[in-house]
Amino acid sequence: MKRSAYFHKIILPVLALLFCAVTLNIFRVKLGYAIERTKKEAAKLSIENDYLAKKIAHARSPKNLEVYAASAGLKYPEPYSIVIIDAPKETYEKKRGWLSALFSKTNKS
Amino acid sequence: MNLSFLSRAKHIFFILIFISAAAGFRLFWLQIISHAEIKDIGEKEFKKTVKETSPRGRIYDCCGEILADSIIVWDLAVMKKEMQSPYSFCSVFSQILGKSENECLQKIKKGKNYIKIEKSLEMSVYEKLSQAFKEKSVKGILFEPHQKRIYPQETAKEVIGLANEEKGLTAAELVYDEILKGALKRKEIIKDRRGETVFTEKELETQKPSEIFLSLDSKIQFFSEEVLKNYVEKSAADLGIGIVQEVKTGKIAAMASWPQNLINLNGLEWVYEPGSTFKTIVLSAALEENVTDENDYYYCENGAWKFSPKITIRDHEPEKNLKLNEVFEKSSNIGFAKIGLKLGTEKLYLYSKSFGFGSAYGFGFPGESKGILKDLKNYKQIDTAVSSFGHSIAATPIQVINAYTAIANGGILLKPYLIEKIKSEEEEKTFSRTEIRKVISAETAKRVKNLLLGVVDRGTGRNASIIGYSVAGKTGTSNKIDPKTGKYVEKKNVTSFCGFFPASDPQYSILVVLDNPKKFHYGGETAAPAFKEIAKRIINLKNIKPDRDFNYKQALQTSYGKNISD
Repeated sequence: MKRSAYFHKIILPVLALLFCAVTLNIFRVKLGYAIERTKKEAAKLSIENDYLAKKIAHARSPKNLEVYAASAGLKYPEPYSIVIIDAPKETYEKKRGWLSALFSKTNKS
Repeated sequence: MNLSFLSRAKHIFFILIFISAAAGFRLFWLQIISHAEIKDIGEKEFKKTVKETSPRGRIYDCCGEILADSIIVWDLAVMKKEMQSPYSFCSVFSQILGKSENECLQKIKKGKNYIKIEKSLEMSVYEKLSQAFKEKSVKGILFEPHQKRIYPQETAKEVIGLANEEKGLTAAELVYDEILKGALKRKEIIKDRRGETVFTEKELETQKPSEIFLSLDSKIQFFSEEVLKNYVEKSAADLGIGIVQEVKTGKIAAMASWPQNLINLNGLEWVYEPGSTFKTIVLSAALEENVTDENDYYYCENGAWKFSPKITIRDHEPEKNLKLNEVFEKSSNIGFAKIGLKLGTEKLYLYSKSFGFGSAYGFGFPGESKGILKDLKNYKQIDTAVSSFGHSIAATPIQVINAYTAIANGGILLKPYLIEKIKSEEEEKTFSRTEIRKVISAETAKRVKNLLLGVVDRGTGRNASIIGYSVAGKTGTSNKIDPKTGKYVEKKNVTSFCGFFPASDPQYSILVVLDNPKKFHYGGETAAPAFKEIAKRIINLKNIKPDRDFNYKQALQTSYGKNISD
């Protein structure tokens, strides 16, 4: 075999393989860092989410609402102070357009 | 081209190739051939096993409001030996937290090496502090994360119970600890020289925690707690207990007590003599067995009946002949003693058992009491007589309210429940209406309901009446027993009111019990108004329509005390 053919058919492919193996390893470590960083970010977002849920639950608590209502000068009404009107559901339920109905069908499928 | 230039270029090219090949071969040797050996060395230095516990499962109310949740908080500690400048640490600390810098310095000076400075810092404070310490390059700081159980609605703490980081300690947190506790995650990680995680090799996680939905309605629970607190203070009582139950399903919408007891669940554990509220059970049994009816009259001995040489049964007011409904409305002990004797010991005992007295409902909470119902063979005639007006028998609040709920829904005893749903990753388990047995017929239940209406409209329960709504209920006043001597304590009562509304189509039943009220002494004066307050708020919350005609203008004028124009 000529020297150039020897170089092109054996040495270069071997060098290329070596290079690939090493490069892949380096990428593996980089990806490892990236994955761990993303996991850390996800954990942080989960904790933030828990804090937000706590804030919302506290804001909705009857004790908190009573304080706000009292500061606005509101009081508990007597039962007969409230008049309940029997209105049919169609009069107050929001109607959905054909586009939103189509999207909901698409999402379900 | 110059031959020597070409030859030099070729040489340089081959040298470069050789250096690259050598470098490449060395990298290949290290990363592929010696991989196992280097990995072993690396693992010894940089591989760690880390344990993490995920947050404890949430507890919700029936409407999905969060009652208990876990959040991550941080404890701030310092390693004194690694700390170069305690002054910069303390100045940052006092600036952000608004605490004394001197106190912080004193703490550090007194401590050895590891010193805990502040506990349970929330995320916003933790982020501010860690950012500030980073900017000022303060060393020797440790932020230790751990879980903290929080109660955002600030209600139903007795039913929820207490929990620390590792396990539940009381009530629902204890009973459902196995399914609520956070999943344990075990990870094998590889860290680099800077301490950053490079890989997570193995991750083992136990089952994720479930979520529990209590049957409580947080708003009704809140109302009950507020009203109880008010009336306990007003009547200077030692203890107040309130339970609200949904008539059609048997689920407990509220269970409150004041002062709050985070160790015992008073609604299930506290035992008392039900007094006149038990007369409803005796009346139901007597009507069901046709032992008496609405046209019967009872002679009430002018308020004092010498039952035996040693025992005299007394009424609150002296009465002579009373019709059955009047005996009930005026709550005559003598009248009911006679009804009970007419019914007979065996039937009285069987109906008491049938209505749920003397046995626990099996909530699963550790302290749930069965109450005290004497064995049939131990009954003497005097026991039958006094049991008929609610003495010589001890019941828990849940037994009393559940018996009234049975009357409200046509004579069917339902199983009361506190847990509505348990939701895990794989499945959802729901609890709903469960019938235990039919105690009395629907017809008898209707007759008892009418008599209970009379108590509120004309009798001792007038303070529980609500304009526009039919309320059926019974007051109760019983003597307190000294648990040490087993004898009645003079001038110490337990007052109660139990009822349901609206009587035409009962939605909710409510029981209020006040232990040893010092300012007022009867159920009609203390517990009945508390019942009314809770009922009014439920009516508004649930939009329950009035079932009785009434004059709006008069009603508003009565409540608001103003001249209301047309």
